This record gives sequence, structure tokens and C-alpha cells, in this order.
Amino acid sequence: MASQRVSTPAKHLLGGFRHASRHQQCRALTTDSTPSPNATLAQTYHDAHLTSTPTEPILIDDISPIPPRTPSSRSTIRPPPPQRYTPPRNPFIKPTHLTLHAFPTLEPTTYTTYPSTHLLLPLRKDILHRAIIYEADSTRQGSANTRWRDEVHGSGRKIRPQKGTGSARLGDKKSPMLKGGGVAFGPKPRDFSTRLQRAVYDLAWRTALSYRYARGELIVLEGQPSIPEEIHQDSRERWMRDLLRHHRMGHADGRTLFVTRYRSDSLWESLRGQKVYGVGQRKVKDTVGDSRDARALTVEEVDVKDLLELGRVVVERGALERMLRGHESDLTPTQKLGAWRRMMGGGALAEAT
Amino acid sequence: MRETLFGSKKSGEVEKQEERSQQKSGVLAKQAEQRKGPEKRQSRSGRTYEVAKIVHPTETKDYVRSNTWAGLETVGTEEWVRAKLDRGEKYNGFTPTKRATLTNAEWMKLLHHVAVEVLILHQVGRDLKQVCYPRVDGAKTWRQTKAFDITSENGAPHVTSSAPQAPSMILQAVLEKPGSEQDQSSLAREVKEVIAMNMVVNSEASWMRTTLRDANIRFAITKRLVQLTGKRIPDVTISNATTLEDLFNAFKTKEQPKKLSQTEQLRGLAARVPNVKVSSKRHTPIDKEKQVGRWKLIEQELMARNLPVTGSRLPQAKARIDN
Repeated sequence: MASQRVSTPAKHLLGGFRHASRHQQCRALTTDSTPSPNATLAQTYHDAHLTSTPTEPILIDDISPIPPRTPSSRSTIRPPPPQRYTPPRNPFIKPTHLTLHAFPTLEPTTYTTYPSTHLLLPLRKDILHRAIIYEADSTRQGSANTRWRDEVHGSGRKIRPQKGTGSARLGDKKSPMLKGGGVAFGPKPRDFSTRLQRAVYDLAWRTALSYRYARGELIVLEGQPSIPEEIHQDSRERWMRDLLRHHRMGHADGRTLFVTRYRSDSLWESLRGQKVYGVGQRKVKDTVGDSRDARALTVEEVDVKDLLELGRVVVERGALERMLRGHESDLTPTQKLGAWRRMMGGGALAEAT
Repeated sequence: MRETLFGSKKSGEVEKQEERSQQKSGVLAKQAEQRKGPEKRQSRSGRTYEVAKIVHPTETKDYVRSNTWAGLETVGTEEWVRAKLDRGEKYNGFTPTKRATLTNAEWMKLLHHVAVEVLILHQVGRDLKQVCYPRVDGAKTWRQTKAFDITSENGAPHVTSSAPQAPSMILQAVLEKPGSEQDQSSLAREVKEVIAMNMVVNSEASWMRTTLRDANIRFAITKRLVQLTGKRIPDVTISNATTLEDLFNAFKTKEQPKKLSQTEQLRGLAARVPNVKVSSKRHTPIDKEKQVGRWKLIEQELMARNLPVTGSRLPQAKARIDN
């Protein structure tokens, strides 16, 4: 307001009323005396240059008291910020229940809810196919290598004259037409990876989880699955086999994939398998986390193909959350898991008492 | 002289008697040994093991030497070593070892029994988790649940019984704290007794249509049924279930169609997709001729010419190129 501006000093016009209440640091000009906090520009000039009779300060720095910041006064200056827009709740996203189990008894202890955008997606085989092909391409080593004619060891000498021999004309002995020669356009190490839109890949991930959920092949554990301490080290493999056979999750029933947030040594070592490697002479290699009855992977290692490969997936809740939150780039901000939970007001996490 | 050299009859008889008594004592000793069982010793790791009996082929008449290794213990392999080191801890799961196979009527009785228990706890305001806790010793809650009626009151399920003490008896039988571990034999006995009850069950019964909007009630009923029978149902089914009938349909044994043409998907195909025909048998060339109406003529002519009507195993049946 004009009436209020008159009483303020010149420099405060630039900063606005906000700076009026703060103490200002003024720079000393030529004197090395430290300026007092309340020294004004005029006074500094006066002190620095004049030694004789003091003159009147050029500018009278009388700061009139700043009116207190009241809501009404503030409202006259600036309108209040608008209320944050909350879109209406999407009626097509319905919640679905998921039972949480204890390990190792697999007792259903409680249940939680997830939105249909995460666990009730329709089956899209084409999207799953794209995702699996993309993963397989990126997994390829691409290290096949052959020697072409310029790489085969040998000289470039023409092995027989162009004309007069009665046989076909030949250059060097490295030609692919000859035995011992190079391969004609044989494979070379290259990158086979393809690209897939992140949104499509994320949709495929959630579609795979939805498929498992719809068929009852997704078992969620409350906490980290680890073998109890009272089971002796030497008994753990057999105990784990007994557990899987009891719950019909072993080899006879299609095998099980355990997905955990972090690697658990006890679980991995209880699933000790024997992988065969070596061509020709059969050799056996010990592998942890992959046995005849089950496989264990961490969240960082698992991919869409693993989720669909075995008979069922036993996943730790923390791992499931990480998977769902890490693969929702195709959803709008209000459809993401965190936002959906906030919109449901915490009621989404209603658990059985 | 003869007696000293060859022995007398009496001495011979005495010797035979001694032999017989020795044999008897040998047999008795063996019998005593068998009754006692094999000798048990403790290994260094603390495991008890049985000492194998040394069998002399000359002494045992029924000893048969094996020519193959079938049925014999293989000693010294990696598996044998692992089995020896194994401490033998048993796994105990939440579900029973043997999954119960029940008929649809039995499932209905069990569902009614479990639903009544859960709804009584819900009505009284107790924690529904308690339905899975062990029961008080000697409690037979199925005798009381049999007489309960499940109805809907203001959209919520409600149970009533003609016997006034029945609810309190059930509530007293259900423990408030788990106390001891669940005994699998008592669970099996409960299932056996419930399905053996004399109860009229009808799939059209009104209690089946009771709505269960509260997810906690659905969860508690499902959990108890899983504990009793070992049969698990998908979470999506529990989520979508609104009535007791939905839970029954999820748990019951579905009849598997014997032929693909009898499945639900193909039965409705004729109505949904009119240009597709579904038949239960393979559509052969004879069926095609029959459709057109030519078959009876073909059959008549073949029979008139004394030729086989069906089959192609005759040498003249198929055209051949002779080189």
C-alpha cells in the first residue's frame, strides 16, 4: 500500500516487508571499524568522511513499526493458496484380499488388501510374452565367435595360378570354400539385448503376479522365511523336503519358488541341489538355493520368467511390496500403491483381529 | 564191550534227550532274544542305533543268500552319510498330514459347524482367532452346533439355538488362549464326528444364502476349515465370496467331466458361437457321409459286393504304387 511504503527506507522496497523485521548487516565503506548492527547508510557515510562538525543525516531511517501479520491483513495482500485438488475415487479399482502366512507352519495369520490394478489384472499373454522375450534377450551371453577368412592363421599367398590348372580359381587357403578355412559370415560376439518400454514391462510384472494370485499360486509370508534354530544343520535339507512334501509344494506338485527381500543363508543352504555341468564327462556341481523341490531367489534376482516358471510362488511380504512398488510406472500417481492406500484412509490395511 | 564201543540204547536215548533239550533251549533263547529286540547302543554323536544281528548261514535254516542288491542297505554313499548325520527332527505344519476327502454333503455339515462356532464368537465379541485354538478336554461342540440356525439380521449373519445353554457351552469349550499345541488327532476326531452327525443338509437351504460381508468372518471360517481338512482355497475366492454358498462351492469336490465336450466352456460354445460344432467323438469320414445321407447307399453297395464296410487293413483297401 502506498501509505505503508512511505515510511519504509529505500532499500526495504526491494526486499519487501519480509525483510523489515530482520536485522540488516550493512557493509562498512572505507573505515575498518565494524559497523554496528543498526547502523544506517547515512550514518556510515557521516562517520566515514566527516571529522568536523556533524551534519544532519541525509536520510532519516525511522522505521515505522511493521503491522503484525494477521490473517485478515494477509488476506488483503495475497489470496490464500488453493486447496490441493483430490480427484474422485476411481470406482473401477476395487480392493482384493490377500492372506498372510507364518513360516514354517504356513498358518494363515492375517489378511491384507491390494488394489485390482496390482493383483487383479486380466491375463495378457502377449504382454507376458514380450516381457519374457525381452528378459531372455538381455540374458544372452552373445559370446559365440568364429574366425572369418581374415582371422584364420595363414598367409595370403595365392595357392595356385589363376589360369591353366584346369581347376577352379583360388586365392589364399583361408577361403571358406576350403577345409581349414574361415567361416563364411559366422557368428561374432554381439549384444542381443532388446528394449521394451518400462510401462509395458511393469505391466507384465504385475500381470504375472495377478495370474498367480488368481490361481491361488501366490502364497505370501508375513516375515522372512528362515529355518528355526532348533533344526540341526545336518537335518535342514531333509526337513525342508518334508515341509514341501507336507504342503504339496515339492517336485511332485510342480516345485516352488521362494522370493525373499534379502538372502537367507539357512533357506538357501536347505535348498542345496546338485547341478550337472560339463559336456562329455558328467560332473556334478553343488548349488545352493536351487534343489529338486524348490528354488530361492531374492527380489533383485527374480524376473517375470521366474514368477511364471514353477508351480507356485511363496513370497515374503516385504519382497512383494518392493516388487509392486518398483513396477508401477504405467499407473497414474493416484493409482500407485502408496497413493491408493492413503486414499483408502488406512482402511486398506485392515487386518483380522 | 559192545556197549563201551558202540554205546547202549539207554545212552543213545539219553544223548537224544540231551540234544532235544539243547535244541529247545536254543529255540527258547532265540525266542527270548526276539522278544527283547535288537541291542541298542549310542553313537558318539548321541544317536541311538540298533546293532545288526550276525546271522550264520549254517545255523539259520531259512537264510537265503541274495544274488542281487535289491532291498539291501547301501552303505557308504553320500546319501547314506547324510541320512546318518540327520537328527530326525519332525516337521509339524498347520494343516493335517492327510488331506480329508469329503463328499459334498459332508462339506456342508462341516461348513455349518464351523460357521456356527465363528458366528457365536463374533456375536459375543470375542476374538475370531480363538476358533482355531485347542478345545477344552472332552468338549464336543458339534453336539451343540448341530441345533443352531444361521439367519441374517439387518444384513449381518446371526445364529440362534432352541437350547439356551448351547451358546455358553460352545463359548466355554473354546479356549481364550492357545495354551498347548494343537493336537492333530483331536482335529481328525472332530472332523470324523461332525461328518458322521445325523443332520439334514440341503444345498438349497436358506442358511447357505447368509451373506458374509465381514472379511474377518470369512477369513476365520476359511482358516478353521483349512486347519481341519488341509484343503486350501485361492485368496481371490475368499475375497469375492459373499455368502456361505460361495465358500461351500470353493471347498466342495468339483465333479470332473469325463469328456472335453462335457466341460462348461464347450457346452456353451454352441450357443455363443453358432458356426462351431462340438461333438463328443472324432468326426470320421463315415460321419460326414451320414450327415449328407450317402452312407446307407455306400454300406448297401459294399455289402452287396462282399467287401468290408469299415476298416482299412485289407491289402486292397489302400491305393499303392508298385515299383
